[in-house]
Amino acid sequence: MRFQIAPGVPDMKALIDRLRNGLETGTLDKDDRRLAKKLSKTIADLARTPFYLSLQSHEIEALTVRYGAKVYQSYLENHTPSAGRLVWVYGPQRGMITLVGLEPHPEDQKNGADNRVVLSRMPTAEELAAEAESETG
Amino acid sequence: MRVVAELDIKKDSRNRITLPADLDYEFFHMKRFDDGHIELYPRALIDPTISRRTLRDMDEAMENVQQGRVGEVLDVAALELLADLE
Repeated sequence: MRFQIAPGVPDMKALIDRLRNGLETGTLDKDDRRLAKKLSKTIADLARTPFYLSLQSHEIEALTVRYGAKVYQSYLENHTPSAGRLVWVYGPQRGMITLVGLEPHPEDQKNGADNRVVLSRMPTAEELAAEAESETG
Repeated sequence: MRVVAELDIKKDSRNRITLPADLDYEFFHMKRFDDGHIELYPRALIDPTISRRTLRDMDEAMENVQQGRVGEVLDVAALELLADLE
């Protein structure tokens, strides 16, 4: 059985659209091209076998508790301590996987930002939204 | 350091020793020395972190998933081919 892979909205869809368009037009910089390749390969592996060994897919319990649905992450590459991770869930329909996040966040990497929270003491969605609102003024 | 517990332990028939479970740590690093003594050091695993932006994006994406709203299904083969062509 092959799974259908859908991007979560709005951010994962925007990211994948941007990378796909960039690949088509050859306008991606070196880092984005590398990310697009790794992401494409990981998505293909996920569609075939979500728990394919090299993906090292595993549940992230703290996020499962946060969202009330099992949340998994898979690695974009092997034997790399700082490897990117793709966060996904099953659904919303049977036979589907939705990509909900990419870690580290591509914008954090570009801006050199180090704005991280520990999983055991995550702010609530409301607190995060309030922070975002105060940042934008 | 203050001694808070002291006890004699006998190994079992499978060469294992059992320690009381009322310990504050879950993981330990063990060292066994050639004179027979053993040291156990508590190990605290690093609490994994996540980007604040990723978390914010995921909060929104998960709210949408739970209401059945996701992007169009990806053409995985085309995406893979495109990445290979680069």
